[in-house]
Amino acid sequence: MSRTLSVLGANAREAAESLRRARLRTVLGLVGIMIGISSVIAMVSLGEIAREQARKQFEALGTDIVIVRKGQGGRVRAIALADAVQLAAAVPSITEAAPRISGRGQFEFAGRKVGRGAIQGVTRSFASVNRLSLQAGRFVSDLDTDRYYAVIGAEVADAMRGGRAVDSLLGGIVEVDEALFTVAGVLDRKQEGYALPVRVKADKSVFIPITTSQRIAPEPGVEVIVARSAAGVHYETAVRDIRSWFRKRAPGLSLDIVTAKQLIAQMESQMGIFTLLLGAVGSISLIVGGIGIMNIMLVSVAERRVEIAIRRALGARQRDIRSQFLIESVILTVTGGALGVLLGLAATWAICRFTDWEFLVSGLSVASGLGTAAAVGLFFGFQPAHQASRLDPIAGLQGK
Amino acid sequence: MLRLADVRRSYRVGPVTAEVLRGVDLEVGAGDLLSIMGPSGSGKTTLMNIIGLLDRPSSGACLLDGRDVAGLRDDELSALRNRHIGFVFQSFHLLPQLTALENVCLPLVYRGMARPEMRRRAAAVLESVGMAERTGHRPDQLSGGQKQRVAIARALVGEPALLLADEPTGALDTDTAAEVMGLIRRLNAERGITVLIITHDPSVAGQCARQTRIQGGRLFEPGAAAPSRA
Repeated sequence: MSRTLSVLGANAREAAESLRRARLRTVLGLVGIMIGISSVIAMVSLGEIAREQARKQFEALGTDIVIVRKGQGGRVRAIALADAVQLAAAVPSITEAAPRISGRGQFEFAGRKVGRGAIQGVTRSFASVNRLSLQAGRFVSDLDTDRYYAVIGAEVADAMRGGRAVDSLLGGIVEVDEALFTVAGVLDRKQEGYALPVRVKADKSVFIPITTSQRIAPEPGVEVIVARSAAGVHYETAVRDIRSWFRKRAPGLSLDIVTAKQLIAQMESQMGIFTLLLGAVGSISLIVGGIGIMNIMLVSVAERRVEIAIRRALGARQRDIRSQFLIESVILTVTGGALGVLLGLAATWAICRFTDWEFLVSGLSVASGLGTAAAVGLFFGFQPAHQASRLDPIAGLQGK
Repeated sequence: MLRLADVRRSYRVGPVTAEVLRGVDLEVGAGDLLSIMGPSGSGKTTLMNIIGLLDRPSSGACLLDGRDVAGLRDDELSALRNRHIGFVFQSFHLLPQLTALENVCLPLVYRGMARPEMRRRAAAVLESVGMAERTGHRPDQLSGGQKQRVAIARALVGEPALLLADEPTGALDTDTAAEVMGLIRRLNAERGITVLIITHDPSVAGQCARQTRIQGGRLFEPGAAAPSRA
């Protein structure tokens, strides 16, 4: 055993040394492995990052969220505001329901244009369902029915106050598409979540009472209801209850209901396709790279027949020669793999910047990348190493 | 320590069987300095490969320290070569990427020796062949004579019973050849190492206490009755 270990140690030292003196051929051989491993790395880490991202967003929003929209077709043209408002009280499996009517408009303050953005007609529960918080004043309340109060998103507020205190905005008059509103509150900054098919864009919006919004805009009905199911209620139960309630209230209304759980499943299947694609690219380049490595090793064995014969004469066993060449090919592929890990992480980082995801280095991806590289080295290095071990030392010593 | 009895070796070349060794008998005692001389094609390289345990006889026995090597597995032959035989080749056969010291370490690597012990021994042997100053040099930085000294050190480092030299001076000029032969004779005289030299050069053979000739696959020893010790 100790003999085996010290021979392996000596082989590893020599292999590292011979790689250091590597030729162009060797370097080119590494490129295939590098690309293969970098796709493996990108695949595993993007998968993990996306999962982590989704987990965070759903943790922030809650997995109990249910989104109700009017579906395609049906005899009824829109969800009636009155029905939407009553939903939470009437359906026990729903604790909160926040309907929204939204449009776009121009905001003016103190005679200045302060931006364009969404005008969102909402109810009191919209803030709690979407986890919005205030830096000053209050949110839209149930007592604001038909009144001209507005709650301002953080970016709009910044443009309005131009350096003055946030509190100074309260009670001020903001002009939204030629209607005048009294500022009742200012929201905190809120990072947009992409997990749900509903964009809130709170920072660039002005929130007004939903009844008021119905008066100033021609929208006939509610665009979307963001609701939460009660604790311990299965999402399918909540969906069934919502449907049956609307069937009673508005027969012929078609509904499109999405739950967080469905979205998670959908996203996972999308990630699955993505992973499959990267996996295919990765495996093809690993096979091509592996064949390249095999070729390099075969050439190396042929070039070093005399060396192999000398080692055999000096007492190397066949398995010592085999392990020497296997170690060389593994060191080769693991080096390519390490470069691939760096490249893959760089690509992942770039994709994360592009998609606004939070970059993280996953230990699993690094380990699987290096592990795959080592496995490729063993697999494609075996045949050349075996061939080296079976060379006839007599022919080698005579230089034939 | 080494005995060959009616050793024959033949090769099949296509449909023909060529018999290279036709019944070689040889007995080598401990401490012998023996030369085997013969023209090319006489079978001397084949004989050396059989004695060096790189090849097996087609028939006949080869006994090393009284043990027949015929039935041994490849791994066992490797281990025997490693412990009992030191090779010196005409073209030195040093590994170009390794330093003199690392080349000398090789037999000990395959013995599984710990690195510090290995390097200590290799350095000591290099010193004994007058190469203490050159341990860190690679073969391409050494002269022919120096390379052969390193090769001899490599052959000796495992303290083998038999030094097997194939044309050890064949690639050297006259002066250097004399030096290397002087070193081999000194090792034989001072340390009692058994030396077997294969050569076609009569002046090299003339420096050996026992001289044999190989011709047509048979070995002749003129004056075989004479005492064999140097």
